[in-house]
Amino acid sequence: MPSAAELTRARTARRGVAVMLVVAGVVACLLNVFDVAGGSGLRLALTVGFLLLGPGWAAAGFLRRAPAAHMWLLTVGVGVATTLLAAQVMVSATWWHPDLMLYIVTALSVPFLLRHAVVAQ
Amino acid sequence: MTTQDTRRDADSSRDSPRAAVPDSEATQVMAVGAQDLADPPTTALPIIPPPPVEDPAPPTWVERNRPTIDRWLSPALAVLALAMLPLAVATTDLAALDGWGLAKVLGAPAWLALLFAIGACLSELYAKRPRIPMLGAATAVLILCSTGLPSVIQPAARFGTAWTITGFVDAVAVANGVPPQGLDARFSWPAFFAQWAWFREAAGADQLDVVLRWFPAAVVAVWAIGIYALARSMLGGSRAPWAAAWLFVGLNWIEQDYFSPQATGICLLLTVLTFALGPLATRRTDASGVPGWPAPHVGAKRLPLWHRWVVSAMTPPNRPTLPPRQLLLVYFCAALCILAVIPAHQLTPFAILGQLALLALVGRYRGRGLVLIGILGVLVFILIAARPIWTTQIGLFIGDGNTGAALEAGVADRLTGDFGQQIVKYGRFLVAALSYGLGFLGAIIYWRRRRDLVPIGLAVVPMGFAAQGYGGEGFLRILLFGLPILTILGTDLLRFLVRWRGWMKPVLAVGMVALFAMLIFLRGGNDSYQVVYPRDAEMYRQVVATTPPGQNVMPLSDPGPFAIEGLTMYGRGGGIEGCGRIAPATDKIGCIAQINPDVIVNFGSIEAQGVYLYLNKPGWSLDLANTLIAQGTYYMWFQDPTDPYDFVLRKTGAPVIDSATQGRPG
Repeated sequence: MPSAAELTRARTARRGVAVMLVVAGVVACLLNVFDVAGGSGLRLALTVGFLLLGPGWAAAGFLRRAPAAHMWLLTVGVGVATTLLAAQVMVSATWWHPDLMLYIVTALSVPFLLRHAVVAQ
Repeated sequence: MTTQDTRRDADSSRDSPRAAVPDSEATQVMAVGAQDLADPPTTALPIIPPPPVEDPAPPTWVERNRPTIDRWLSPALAVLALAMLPLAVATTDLAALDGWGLAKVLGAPAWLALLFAIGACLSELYAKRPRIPMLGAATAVLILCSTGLPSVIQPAARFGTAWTITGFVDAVAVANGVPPQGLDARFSWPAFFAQWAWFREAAGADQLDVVLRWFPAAVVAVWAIGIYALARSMLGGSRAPWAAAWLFVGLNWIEQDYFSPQATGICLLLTVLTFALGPLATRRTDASGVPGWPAPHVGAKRLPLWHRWVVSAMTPPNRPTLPPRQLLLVYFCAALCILAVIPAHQLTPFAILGQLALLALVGRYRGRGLVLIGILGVLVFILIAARPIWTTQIGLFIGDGNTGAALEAGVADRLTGDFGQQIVKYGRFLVAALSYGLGFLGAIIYWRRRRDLVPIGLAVVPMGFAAQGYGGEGFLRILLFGLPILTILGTDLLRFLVRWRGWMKPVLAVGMVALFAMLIFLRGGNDSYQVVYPRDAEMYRQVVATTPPGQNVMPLSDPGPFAIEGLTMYGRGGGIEGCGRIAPATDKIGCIAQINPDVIVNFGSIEAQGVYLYLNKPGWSLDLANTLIAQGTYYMWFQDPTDPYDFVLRKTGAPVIDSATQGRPG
């Protein structure tokens, strides 16, 4: 049984991850809107990092009393799955709008991420 | 004081005035006293002198400093391992690569980095209270110093197939999300290529070279998380799950972790399997062990086996202890993972569904609907979204059933090359056999401990792909899909050994060092012809920028960053019997004359492949180029000054466009 201190640390860490992902998602969208050059790969890292982890953390944040390994595995799994399906939808519907899809994923994920930043399980 | 002291003795009874009183209690006592005039002498037990107190041995230095060691040794070793990596880059001579691969040219700092990383892991594991964050960090360092070592040491992503896939991503991106048809069967499962094309476009990047380079280390880290989580559920304990993750990393020589759909597919497979065997896990018996079906009458004849199976299959598993909303969340996420892998890779969905179906059949998890969702998803994708596949390439699903041919392609045909190459390949078979051996022995231990044979069944399910006749890589996939369970069962065996014989601990620590050294040897065994330099990619991009669409552009063999751009703009010749690759062809000039390419591209890695794998004489590619130039049919358009085997030949008279005027395709 984890101690109260361990639980507090875990909640703080979960909040931190959620806040960082919110920032990453918003910055990725802003860089996309203003078409800022990739530079040293920072934009690519931010965008890929948010798209692979943001939707996953939005879902995994609801998991209660789960060990960190389950949290991160679910985060990566759901993030990868969401983006694979979103890409497949764009291909199947012949509706190729990478920028718009980035905004949609961000818009859907950020509210849940903000919720997890405030109320960590 | 004994119980006898509470009784009045004969003398006192005589002296006491109450002795004359004939009450019943006194009478009884007196009666006894009258028979035995005196108590029998007390027999004292001999006093055993305590053993002489020896002065306790003074605590050793390690015992005295145990808290400090536990706290600092692991972080210090991890930092040392990381500090060795820049030195490893500086002391490794990639130009000296030959058939023995990377292990032969690695400098001492690279091996020291591996040793320190293993030390960091083991010192934390053997600490009195292992810290989970520290074990996680040490595992990350271990992955970086073993699986990720080529990413650190080599200047670009190795493995030609990874570069081919980035070409697929490029083809989807430049065609605005329309996968090319009729070019490669892999485009029938386009989700992975579209996913990365989307990422690339959204990030404003025009290539993914950095992603390719670090992808193996990142994806193996995710796999290790999955193995750890799975092992927590299957083995329990606080140390064994970490050992399982390390064993998995050490046995994973298969190299299916490059930038590819199957690497992503394994992440999804592990996610689903972890939750099926973790939060969703249940049994058909309740917590007190009472079977879910009424017990037979005493003395009744036992039901036939098939009847018991039917009863067992029809008994619903118990509900897991999760609250309903949590259960729904896990179902939703697992269904999402299963559905996502269907359009991404042709084999992984069948591996997931096969393993889930087995678990559902034996009632080991709650949520059999996941299998139904997966089957429906596969059917919908095949019948609707991928109609061209089943109308033209149904053989990809059903295979040709020729297991013998698949075995020959997957096993026998790979045992080629010089002595170093052959040792590497036999070593791979040895480690594959070791994986299965550990897994099956572990299954026996697991059976003795939990009376459960289902886990080994999960490792056996992927063997069905052998009957499908998938092709040369089918056996790698069988091992890949089975390896997570095999390593977890193997860890159960190792834990049994350690509990049985304490001296096995140092033996296993030495075994871990040997296993990871073997891993570097086996994974890097093909690096003489898998290594890629940024100049190779740059050269090919220049070819794309200067070659008019419609020409035939051909490499002399597979390795190297070929077709990373302009996949749909150029033909590759091909279709001529015996001339699939020029490097192993017996009549190279004749093949080139028949294919008649406009541009011939060669990399240093192709030259090395010809020498070490196909046993051509050193310099064969340059000799071939010189012959073609001497014939007057081709001219040397580009030759890298630092590597003469990086060259581009163009057909005499074929048009070349100015790279300054050629925009990026798409």
